[in-house]
Amino acid sequence: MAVTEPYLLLPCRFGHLAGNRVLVVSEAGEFVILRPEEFSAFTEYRLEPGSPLFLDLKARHLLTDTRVTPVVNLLATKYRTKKAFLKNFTGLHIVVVTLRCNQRCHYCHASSQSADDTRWDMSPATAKNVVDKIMATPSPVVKIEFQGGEALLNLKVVKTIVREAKRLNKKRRKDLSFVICTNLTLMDEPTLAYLKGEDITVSTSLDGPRDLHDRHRVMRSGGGSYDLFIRNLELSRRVLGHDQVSPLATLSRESLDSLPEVIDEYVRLGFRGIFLRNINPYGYATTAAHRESFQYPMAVFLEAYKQAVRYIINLNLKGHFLVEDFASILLSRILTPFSTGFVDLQSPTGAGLAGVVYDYNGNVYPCDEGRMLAKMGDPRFCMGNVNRDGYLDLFTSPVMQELVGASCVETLPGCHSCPLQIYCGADPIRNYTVQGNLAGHRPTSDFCEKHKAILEFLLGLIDEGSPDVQDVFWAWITNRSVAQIREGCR
Amino acid sequence: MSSIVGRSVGLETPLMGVVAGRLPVRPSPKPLIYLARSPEDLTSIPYRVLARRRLLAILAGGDVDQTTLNGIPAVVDLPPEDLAALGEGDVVFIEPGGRVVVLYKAGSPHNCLFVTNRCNCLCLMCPQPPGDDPPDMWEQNLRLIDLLDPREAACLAITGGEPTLLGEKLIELVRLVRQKLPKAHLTLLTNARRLKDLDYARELVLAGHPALLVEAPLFADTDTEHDHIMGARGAFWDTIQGLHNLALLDQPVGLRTVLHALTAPRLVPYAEFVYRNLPFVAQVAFMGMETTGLAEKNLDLLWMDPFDYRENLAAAVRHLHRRMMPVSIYNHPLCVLTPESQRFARQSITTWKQVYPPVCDSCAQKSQCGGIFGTGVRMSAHLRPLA
Repeated sequence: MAVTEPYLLLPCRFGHLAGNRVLVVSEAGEFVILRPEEFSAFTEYRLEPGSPLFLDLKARHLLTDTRVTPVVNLLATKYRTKKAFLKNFTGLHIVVVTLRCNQRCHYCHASSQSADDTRWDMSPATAKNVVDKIMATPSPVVKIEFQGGEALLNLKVVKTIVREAKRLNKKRRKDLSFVICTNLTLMDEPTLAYLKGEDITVSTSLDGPRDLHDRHRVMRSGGGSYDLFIRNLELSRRVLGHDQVSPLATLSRESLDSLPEVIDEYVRLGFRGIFLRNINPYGYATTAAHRESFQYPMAVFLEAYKQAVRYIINLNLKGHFLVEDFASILLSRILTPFSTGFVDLQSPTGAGLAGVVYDYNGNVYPCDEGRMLAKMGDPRFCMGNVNRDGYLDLFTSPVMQELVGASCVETLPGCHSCPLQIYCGADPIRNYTVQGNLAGHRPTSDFCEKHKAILEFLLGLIDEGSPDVQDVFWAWITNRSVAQIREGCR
Repeated sequence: MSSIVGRSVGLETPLMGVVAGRLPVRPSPKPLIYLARSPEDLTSIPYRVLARRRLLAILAGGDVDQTTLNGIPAVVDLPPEDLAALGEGDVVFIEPGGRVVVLYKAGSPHNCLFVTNRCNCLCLMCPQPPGDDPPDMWEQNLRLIDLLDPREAACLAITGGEPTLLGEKLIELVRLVRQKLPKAHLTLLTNARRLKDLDYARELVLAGHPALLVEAPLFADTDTEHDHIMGARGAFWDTIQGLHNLALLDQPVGLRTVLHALTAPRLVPYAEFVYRNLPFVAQVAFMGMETTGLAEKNLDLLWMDPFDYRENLAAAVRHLHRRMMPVSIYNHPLCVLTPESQRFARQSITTWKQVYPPVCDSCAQKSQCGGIFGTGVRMSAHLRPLA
């Protein structure tokens, strides 16, 4: 082979995009979308040095015809920036304070128990040991998230944890925050006064307008929960502040068919964001009674998702600020040089490294799915128990080492050469659940199908180059309205 | 620096002092240069009684009776408009030949310390081509700093040439300015090449903290193009390393690029490069070219009417603004910009260089507009009055 190539190719990954385009992504996540003939000219050393395309590729550090070392150093700096989420270690600590719940949602994967059976509550002694473990994390930023069941059913232990964590934090001086996940049906003024006093924000669930919400979010005592939810949402906002309550939507087959109505409900209630997620194949969602509603093909979700994102983009252009949160996270990964923490989609996995779950009995799991598997009889992802094991025993446990080893997309078959790699992540526990092993099998993975499709969809929208769509995307990324983005720019 | 010329009377050596139009009752510790706006100022009682022995020199217009100078060195026959442009607290340097150079204009945001004429680059559009330094340049600057009023001096730029060529002396200078003028905002204009030495960068940052802003030029998104414009091979990667060092040290940094035929076509890729590789910068300034010095010499290669790159400039501004990167447009009259980018234009041309051609007379935006360089040899063919 001749050694007189006019330039050197730098590390990159590439693949086809719809519309006869080729996506080329650098090691640091900078990308260019080319026509096939441009891509051939690039890789066959036929680009004219100094031509616009040559300079575009050089500026993105996909090739060099001059120095190599400073380019590699710069790529290393940018790569470190992209992977900065690893620097701090575990920041999100989810505490399941009880398995009891006053609702019995059809898709629940949290294995809820009846509302009066206190065997399923976390004990104060366990709670103290949980806090000890949480505050031992090297992360300077710690968020403690209370989950259930219905967390308000064990408010006593919530209070214990908040008090203990704040006490320990007087010395540790971490950036400590709290969020409580609740269906809001049990919310009342005294509880809100407590949450307000301790600066605890609220995360809740809203599946759409009344008929959609009540279809699967039912009270254990019978009947829907929508009216109570709305009443207590207003009360909570009045006490805590409008933006201190944020909801998550769970999308059943029925809601996929009417996503605009779900979205309109979010706009109507004045929420700033909506996270469109498909249902995970765990828990009650797999039971025969509701299979129809919850086990839809990924392709059905994806089609609905894409239409919904276009719908939300148009809403923003009409002056309603609403972020599609998942797209916003992925767009940050595609369009900014910064690191984006998102526990469910990281490499290595966010399970255990970015977030961790403490079950009511003190068992520790890298994520909720690991806890679910244990509930269903397979405890293989249990990292240990806070009442028995030390911090290091838990976080350097064989389970964690195995998970990290099996979740670097840089080395996973099918991921290692994927151009979307740096925007994506791995979920070894899901692979294990659905496909029987940690590494998984990409061609038959609907996890891969989903993320590939959504990333390619977003890249396609970027490639179309519509200034309006770009304004909306940057409004999402920077949490400003389209009007603010355009201020002085139109 | 602006200068005015008159007739020298009794000047044997160069003098530097502070301009005073009113004479202080108490002796000033600083050498005063009396600004006699009218012949009467030289016959007034305060002048005759109080001050004349304490004056370093006198600046005056025509029709001055030389005997009233009392043997004090003076520059006379200065045109009235030049006299009017001088003010209380200005620092001037008087050459024996009668040239009065304004080193420091009190109240102006554009004051500079020119610390060297030497440079380690030779930019194609350099308005002040590098040269050798006079032997007393360092001392002159020390004297100038000494003459500034710490209550008044709000901002000061250290520039050259390339200030970092002073090495340790630059650190000394920054420290001194911080000491003498603790309230002043300091800007260091440097190509940051020497700041690729982390130890040197750290010394500079420590000396300047927290008043220092470093402003560095970056002209392109590749070394090929940047080095060509800078006239120095290796400049691009030196500057990138220097800027990353400053970011590591939490030093605020601004970027500057000059717009001309070689840079204007790639403004959007340039903006993207900055966001991807230097997202920490406090500001990106797109600057119009001053068509003087080497820019005049290389005008055939460089000239592009700003009106012809206005869309590219607007797109680059929009690109950065979307990404929350603060952007400014310097040295551009409003009428050559697209309406959407006018908000980002700053009145950046130094007052004494700033002019408005006759076409601006009927412009409703004149008072908001920075005008054009009076020092340039070429201006846009699209200047027009705005409503």
